Amino acid sequence: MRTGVRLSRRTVLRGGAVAVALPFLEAMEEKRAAAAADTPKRFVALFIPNGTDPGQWNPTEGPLSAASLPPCLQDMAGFAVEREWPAMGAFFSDVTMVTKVNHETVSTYIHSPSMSLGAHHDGGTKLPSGPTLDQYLANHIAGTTPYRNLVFSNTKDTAAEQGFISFRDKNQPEDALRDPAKIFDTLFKNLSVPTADLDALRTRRQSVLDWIRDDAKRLQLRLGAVDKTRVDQHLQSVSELEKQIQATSPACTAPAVPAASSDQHTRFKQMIDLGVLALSCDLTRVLVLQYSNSWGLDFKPYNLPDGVADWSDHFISHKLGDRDRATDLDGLPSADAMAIANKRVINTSRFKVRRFGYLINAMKSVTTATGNLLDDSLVLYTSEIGDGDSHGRRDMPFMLAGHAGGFKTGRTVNTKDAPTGAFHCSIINYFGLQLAQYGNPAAGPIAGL
Amino acid sequence: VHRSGTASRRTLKALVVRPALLLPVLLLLGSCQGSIGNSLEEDSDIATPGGGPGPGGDPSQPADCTKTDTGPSVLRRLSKLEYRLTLQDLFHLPAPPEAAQVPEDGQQDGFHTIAALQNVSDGHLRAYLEVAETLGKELMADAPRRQAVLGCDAAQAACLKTFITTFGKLAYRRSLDDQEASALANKAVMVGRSNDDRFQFVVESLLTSPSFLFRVEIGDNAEVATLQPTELASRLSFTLWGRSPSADLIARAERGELDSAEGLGAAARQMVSDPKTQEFFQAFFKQWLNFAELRTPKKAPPRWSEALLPEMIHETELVLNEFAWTPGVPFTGALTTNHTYVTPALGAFYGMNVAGTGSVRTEFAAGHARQNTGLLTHASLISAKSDSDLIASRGKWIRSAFLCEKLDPPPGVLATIQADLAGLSYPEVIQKRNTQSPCAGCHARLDPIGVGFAQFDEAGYFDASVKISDYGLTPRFEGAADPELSSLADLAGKLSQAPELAECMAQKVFVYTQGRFPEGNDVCSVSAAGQRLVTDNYQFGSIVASLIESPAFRLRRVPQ
Repeated sequence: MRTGVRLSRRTVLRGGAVAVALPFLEAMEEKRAAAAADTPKRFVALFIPNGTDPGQWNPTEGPLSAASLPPCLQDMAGFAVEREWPAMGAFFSDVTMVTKVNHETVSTYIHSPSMSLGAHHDGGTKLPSGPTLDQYLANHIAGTTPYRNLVFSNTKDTAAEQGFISFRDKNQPEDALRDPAKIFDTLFKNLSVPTADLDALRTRRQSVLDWIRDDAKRLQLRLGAVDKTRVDQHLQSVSELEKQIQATSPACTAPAVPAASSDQHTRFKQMIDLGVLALSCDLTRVLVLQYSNSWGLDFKPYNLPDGVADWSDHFISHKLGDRDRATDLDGLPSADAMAIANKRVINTSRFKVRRFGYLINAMKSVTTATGNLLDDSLVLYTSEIGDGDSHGRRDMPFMLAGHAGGFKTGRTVNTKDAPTGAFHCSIINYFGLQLAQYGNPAAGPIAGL
Repeated sequence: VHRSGTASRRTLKALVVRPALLLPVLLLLGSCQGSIGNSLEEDSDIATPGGGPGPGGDPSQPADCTKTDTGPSVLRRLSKLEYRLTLQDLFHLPAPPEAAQVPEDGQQDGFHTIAALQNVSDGHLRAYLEVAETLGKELMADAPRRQAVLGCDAAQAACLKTFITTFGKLAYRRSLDDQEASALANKAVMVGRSNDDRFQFVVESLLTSPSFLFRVEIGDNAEVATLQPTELASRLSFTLWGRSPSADLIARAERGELDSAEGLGAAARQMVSDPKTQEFFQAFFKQWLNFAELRTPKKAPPRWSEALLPEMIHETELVLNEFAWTPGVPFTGALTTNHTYVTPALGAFYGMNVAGTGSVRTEFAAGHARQNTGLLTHASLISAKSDSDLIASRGKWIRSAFLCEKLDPPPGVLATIQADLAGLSYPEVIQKRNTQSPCAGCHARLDPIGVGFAQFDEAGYFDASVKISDYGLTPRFEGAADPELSSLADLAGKLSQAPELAECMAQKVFVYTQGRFPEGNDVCSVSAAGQRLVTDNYQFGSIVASLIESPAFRLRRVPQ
């Protein structure tokens, strides 16, 4: 992890002038972004599946303190080194716990990572009917960064509801980069290409993009309204690729190529590191990280107590109450079995909290012109369900870190059954928007958040 | 809105033409209360599996199959597979290029071809550009192939324009107009850093533009448009071969040979018998029956190893290919056959001694657990694909894959019944969910099928020490004329004769080839293809042949 990178958007984007006239809407966005360019804001989301045990997770409303941390959150007071993850001091003051959000207002199915950033009802399709939070924010905060947004997804699952958690709009799943080596190639490989070669490549690719634009415009004359919007998406991608091609990043030196690994945790740590580096180089301001699909997470390589290593996170989350559970407790007296099952969920939840801690610490250790990366950001921890055992989605394990827009951390806000739209509305408004309400069903911001 | 079997809903709409099925339809509708429903469904225009009739017709009215009509279809991007197969042809390559940079297509209901979900993101465009750069460069460095693809000597001044005209026509699936071709040639001359590079620039420009990446269908510009001849050639080629039409097929279309039903039918028959159809339908089978990727079991059974996984997949491919494409052999035989193709190691896993190398055709001995069960006991198909309860998920697989029933838990049901199930033994849970509303509506259709598979574990290993009777549920195939089941072979036999099977298979082929779930009058083409399959003694190729021969195949309804 590189630290201490001094950022200047202008140096990062030197030579990034877009030569070709942009369509009207994009031109408007450019202008708005330019106005906000002096105070870049960033949004990061971390998805880890299978929720938690809300009873062992939710603190009472009010300030967080080391003494008041519930069992699942106790590592917020600091934790030791753990294989590839470094030790960390107390970080509860960097986090605000947001409890009792009712996600059943929008998500009808028991395991829909696709809805974990959504506030627009899935209509029974398991997919959001509007843009996910990261995409909504990207429209407003991406500015002229080369990557309007990035999604890193540590699963090869291609089911629309499992392997895709970001949607530009209804029916528009956003592609994810699923391999650290590919992320590296995409974002940083060009940094090692000699400048003259790179300039030639830029000019050449720009000419190809110009041809695509010409073809799209000719084609659109022949198409109906719905088909046109699909070609518009293609054109939008041309504009985005243009920024990526033209961007130069003198503020960044290429990181080492991530070592190939089949270990999901190693890979995910590489994804976090590459993502934070992309933020620190201002390659993007919107980053989504998916640890796994609902079924793929396990803790085999870690020395966690109570037999956690033998079962998947999904099985452990079901305690004793479902068929897809850890069956080694079946022979025990039920009270003993339940005690162990509860402990296991606390252990896995603590692991999840520690990974959130790693992410926010990585961001905090990058200094910027105005402080550190976390100061300019909001970082959301999300899951597809609240109570892993019952699949309940009325008590989501949401956490927020960062101080974008003056957001205050180190506390717990009980939203008292607020719909997800209300929660997202509050987040959006910290990015300088003044929405009266957001989502479907729409709801206004949460008082006190 | 309650949904039960999609096929049966379709059947209900098409009752005019299929009165014989009235009785089973009503039984189905009544039996799975609360299968799925949500109050906001009408708010959704994602055509979900078994989605409503849509703009093609009034939801409350059965489709009028005397009218030629079709459901709306959005502009389709080439799927990753179609893209790769098309590039193989364009560049005369021995195999489709990997194109590993191109993101995998998302899937719904197992199918990776759903057009509504396909876009051209910046990640796609980046990948398409890289692939085109590589393929163009390799082409120009390979003299014999370059000559064949260019059709002229690159050193000749006129060759660039010739290449743009011929290659461009294949890439865009239409002729480029003069202005377009000249503009591209001029640009290539301006941008190219060498003569070869001009050709590479043309390749890069064509293969990243929407006219190549989208399957443009404009037809006669009507709301329900009749496709132009070359558009029809394109649809035909993608439907059967999953790739752009060949120069020959485009030429035939331009000569008007596809204008008549006979002409189109003749072209289709010729293409169905080509190995390219089998190649494209390999992917269909994997998506339909869900065996493209197998999981490592949580607990490995005896004689299991990771190396068996590809052999299991291959077993299923071989059986499907045999029963799908051998003339005169009905596809239903794949469900009941007593032979399979296993390696010695996979044979051992199945409890058999198999000699030889590679996958060997092997008969199951009398009394073997897999006797006369065809596909239904392939390890690739019955091994666990998710963490779900095996008894329910196997029942669901049979009903959704072969009978097109859609059975999802009603929203919120699990949270509400959780307390009722806590502390119960597994047989007690099964008992409860098979008798108590709202679970029983679906589980009583699923579990009695699934319990018949109970002796096969998550890896598909047969464990004789498991007793089916321990589950407190008698194997049963609800809906069949004689629902009692004596064995899995009995289930296989009854499934192969289920009246819903043919239309369901037709529906799956429709989704795979047309990139959308049937809506409105699509039910007529699907229903006809199902009937044709039965009439043709379950010759698998009849399904797609029937879909192509349907008058609706020439139409495109512009989405609104």
